[in-house]
Amino acid sequence: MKKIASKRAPISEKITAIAFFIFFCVLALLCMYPFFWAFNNALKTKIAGNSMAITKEWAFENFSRIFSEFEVTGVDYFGMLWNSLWILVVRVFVNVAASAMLAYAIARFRFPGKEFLYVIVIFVNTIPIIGSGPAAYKLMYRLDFIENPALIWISWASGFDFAFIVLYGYFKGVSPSYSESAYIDGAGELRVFFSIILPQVVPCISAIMITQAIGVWNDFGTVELYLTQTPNLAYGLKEFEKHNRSRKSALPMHFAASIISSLPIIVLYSCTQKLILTNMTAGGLKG
Amino acid sequence: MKKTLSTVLAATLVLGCAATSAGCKAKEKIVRDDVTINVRLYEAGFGFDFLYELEDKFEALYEEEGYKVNILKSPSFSGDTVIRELYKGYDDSGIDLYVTGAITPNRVSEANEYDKELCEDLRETVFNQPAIEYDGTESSPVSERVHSDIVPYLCADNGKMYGFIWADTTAGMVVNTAKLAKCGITEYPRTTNELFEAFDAIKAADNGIYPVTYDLGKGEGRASTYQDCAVATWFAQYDIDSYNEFLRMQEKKDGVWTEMEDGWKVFENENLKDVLEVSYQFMDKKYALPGSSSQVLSQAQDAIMENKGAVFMLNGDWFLNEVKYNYNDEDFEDIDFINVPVISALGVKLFGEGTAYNLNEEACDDLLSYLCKLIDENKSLEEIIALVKSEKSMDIASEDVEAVATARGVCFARGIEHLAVITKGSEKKHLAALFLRMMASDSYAETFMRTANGISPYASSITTESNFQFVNSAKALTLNQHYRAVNSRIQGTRFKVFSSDYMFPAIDNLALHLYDKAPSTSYESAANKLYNDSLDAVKDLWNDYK
Amino acid sequence: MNKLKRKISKYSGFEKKKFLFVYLFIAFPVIQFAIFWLYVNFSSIMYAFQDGDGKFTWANMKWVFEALKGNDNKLAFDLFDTLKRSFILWALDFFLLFPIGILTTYVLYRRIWGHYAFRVFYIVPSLMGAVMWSQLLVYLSQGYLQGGALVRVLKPFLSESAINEGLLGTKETAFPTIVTIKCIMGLVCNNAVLTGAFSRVPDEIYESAELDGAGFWRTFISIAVPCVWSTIATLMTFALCSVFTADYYIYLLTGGARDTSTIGFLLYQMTLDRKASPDGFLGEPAAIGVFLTAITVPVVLIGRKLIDRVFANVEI
Repeated sequence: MKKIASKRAPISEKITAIAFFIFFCVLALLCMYPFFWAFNNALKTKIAGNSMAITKEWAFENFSRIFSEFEVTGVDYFGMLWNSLWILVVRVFVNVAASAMLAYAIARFRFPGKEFLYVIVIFVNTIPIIGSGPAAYKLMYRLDFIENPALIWISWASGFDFAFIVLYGYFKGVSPSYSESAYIDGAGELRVFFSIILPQVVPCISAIMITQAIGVWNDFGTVELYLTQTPNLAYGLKEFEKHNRSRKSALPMHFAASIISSLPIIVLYSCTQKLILTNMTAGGLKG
Repeated sequence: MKKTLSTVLAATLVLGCAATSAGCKAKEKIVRDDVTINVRLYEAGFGFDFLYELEDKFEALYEEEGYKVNILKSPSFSGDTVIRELYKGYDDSGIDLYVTGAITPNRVSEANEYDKELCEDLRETVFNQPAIEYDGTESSPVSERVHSDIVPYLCADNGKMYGFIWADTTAGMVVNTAKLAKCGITEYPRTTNELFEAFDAIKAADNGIYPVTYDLGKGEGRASTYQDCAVATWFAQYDIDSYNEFLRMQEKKDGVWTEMEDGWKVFENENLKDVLEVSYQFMDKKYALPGSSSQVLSQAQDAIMENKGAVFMLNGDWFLNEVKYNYNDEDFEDIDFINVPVISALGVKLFGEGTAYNLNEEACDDLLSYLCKLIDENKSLEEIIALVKSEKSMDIASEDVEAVATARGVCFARGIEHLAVITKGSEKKHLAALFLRMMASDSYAETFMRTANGISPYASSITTESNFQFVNSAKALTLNQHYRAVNSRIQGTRFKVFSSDYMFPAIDNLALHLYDKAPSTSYESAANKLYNDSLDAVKDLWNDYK
Repeated sequence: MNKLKRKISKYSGFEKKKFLFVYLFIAFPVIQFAIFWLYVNFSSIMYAFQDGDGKFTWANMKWVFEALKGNDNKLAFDLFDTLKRSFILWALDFFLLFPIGILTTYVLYRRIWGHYAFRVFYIVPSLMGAVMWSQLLVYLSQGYLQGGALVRVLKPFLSESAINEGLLGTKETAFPTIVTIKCIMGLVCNNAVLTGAFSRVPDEIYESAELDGAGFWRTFISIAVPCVWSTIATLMTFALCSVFTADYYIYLLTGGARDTSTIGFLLYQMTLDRKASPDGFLGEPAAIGVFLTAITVPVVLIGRKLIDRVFANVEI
């Protein structure tokens, strides 16, 4: 794709491009300034007076203090990091797995109920049913899923969401000849799925997983509702700030913890940006 | 690329399975034997050291029997978590004793709501038993060592006592004496009129110091509840029995709390209007440090501790524990603690126009302040009457002195929200009971004061002085012969009518509501509006309940 | 039975052999859906018409209408104003930010200088997450004496009250501040999906448009947008449904105080309130949900019909 305002473009196009560039710079500043503000204040021993003032203290020890002092009612930073990791991995995996299973079956097979299921997926994604949060909580309570990491993943394994729509398109796009030749060679269904079809959509699955990972890493709502005894970093940051509002020296450390906690996901996104951009597609919702 | 991604996906699958099982197994160690009490501790602003010291003393005393204490820090600060664990039962949690700041007597006491009892009744095993000192000697029964006002708050409607109060903390006012003196004020205000005069004097001094500050900003928008404590205190100062009826929406018949025919009528009380008027005036923005509505607690504390900022702040006697991380001990020399001033409208009601004394408003307040001064000096009612006669040449009725003594003695006891409970069905409840009896001792009171600047509710004879004037002042309030304790955690019928802890229905943030009053509206009209709206709301809620 | 036999007879023997595998393969997601979506939503709707004893009643729905009129004592927030604010935010998002988001994504796709870095910068608030972002904003928007950076920068434009209390500390500025925050974060939205869609449009189409003398705007409006309309339509459909989704920012920034509550926040708060009595009465929150669903569904259906009519015949 041709660059905007190439050398041979008319003046008006170049002015448009410059205007956009200035707009993007201002927007970038607005988006990034809080991050730099947090970093600046994370290097202070306490935050007082003008919080925009550049730090003179350069208290890098705030970053190392995180690992010994950042604690939310008994769970330290490493504990929260571990919780963030396993919640992320399990939740993303089961959700994508369930979506992949459903999308594969509906995209590649003919069976009674196929159209019905497809309509249900479209319905679920396009018709909002609002206010079921309290009812969902009640169900989770009755099923004893609350504060129960061993079982809560079942509630995360929804196959009827946006990931289905993306995967459905990709599975549909894989030529049937691949699976047919595998059947001829004597491969079973699971073999076809795991060895033939799934590798073809791995980039798409990866893009979905990374996109979901960003949301799950920062999700504190689920933890606040269902997993307070295994706090992740997002929930931990929230609770730490709440419980340490009287400790002045805790605030810079809190900002340092926030920065450290968001770095993994920023790095992940930066490295996989191209993968996400080229493999995420969701078009043609019909139903 | 695809192979790499496939490998990564496979690895994450394995990691996920391992992580899930590790997540499940990453639970603390519960010791399930016959001699170890598992104690779940929720920090409530006092730190943990006091309990660890008690643990050492308990294990030392019962070394021969081999009793042990296993303290587990709580992974959650939520009272709901405690209730949920209690409901799941002892077999599931393995916790024998909860030492919390997160649940309240009514939550634990509403056993019928949960179709089973959540906690052990402590009357026979703890309250009617003697306290146990560190050296093993037994002192007076626990029930005799706790103030009589506190006991009803610990009792369920079925008469059982499920909660053991482990801190006697007052919600009052922190004051920076140096800044107060800088503004030319030499005495602490004892009445609300004096308080507002002090506020005006501080403002008039115009030296960058403001009268009062708060922590109304928390990001989640829910201000701290110290302001609510002050409002409750002012209402209770009129009459504690009426106040408790207001809280419960019940009346006492033959010593038993009974549901009223029209429970909403407890809100139909003219004294409430006076209280609201004073509350609006107290929370007027013109007195507050600018930005108080967006401050967090540490910023409000800074405003008290530092040279500028503000003079007064509503807080509890755990203020020192909250700021100790940020300041040195010598920085607390100018910090003192006082009770919420007595509402001046009470003076008018007792001594004003139409009464036997028929004093004007100013004279009412002078007399009220004078009486409060004598009460603060721990004078008896007879001594006060005699002094009024000799120094003011005035005959004052004993019931009026008693009314003022009660008002001045009323302290908002947030300790009632600090409960220790024994899980129903605990196999080591007898050991947990011993532990609690030790918590009621004088030795523990000394530990609590030294390690946590805390005041034990059972320390009737403790003489230990703290290094901090602040702590000694807070303690003096509870040692005063006129001390009365109230709390605002709703109980009884009110808990069923609207099960929230907010004093006024549909206002979950009273402090913000008061602070946001438009400057053009008078205190009286704002108070009348809130009063009438609340009355209407309560009537509707009562009708729904019925 | 005969109907079923006729249905099954449509499938070949080869396909019929796959039935067992297929049904086993989809069993888990379907059962999960049946429990966690179907049962939950069905029971939520039923609760809206039940009293505490499980008997049928219209009382909960009546309560919603009374609450909209302001005659309610149970909610801490005015329901009508809350609804109004939700629609304001949604309308801003749908009619302003969404179209701008398409434009900005297209410009980034056209590889404006620094496009790679810009993409990372704009996603940083989302990557940082609601907790960190809102905690920073709370401190940044505090009053002047508390060192609030935004107040210091915007001082010439603010009232004395806003300068003293902070941008989130007064009713006049709290909701506008939240609107501004949403605008900044929403100006580059749906970047990933739209970029993928733009990249699937063959370059030849753009080149032939350029040869015909089409400039940037002409290309964007007449070529790019129609070609990716199916994706835009899908995203618009999702955006139509998002009017009442859970709003963590309001919860974290103000807790709904100072006239900032939205339905998304209210619903999340109602769910949090369940923790106190998980098995308790759900009539009122469920009734609010039913009422809002009844509003949203026709809007979504009509909206979808209108969306489908635009550029309906564009084929690449």
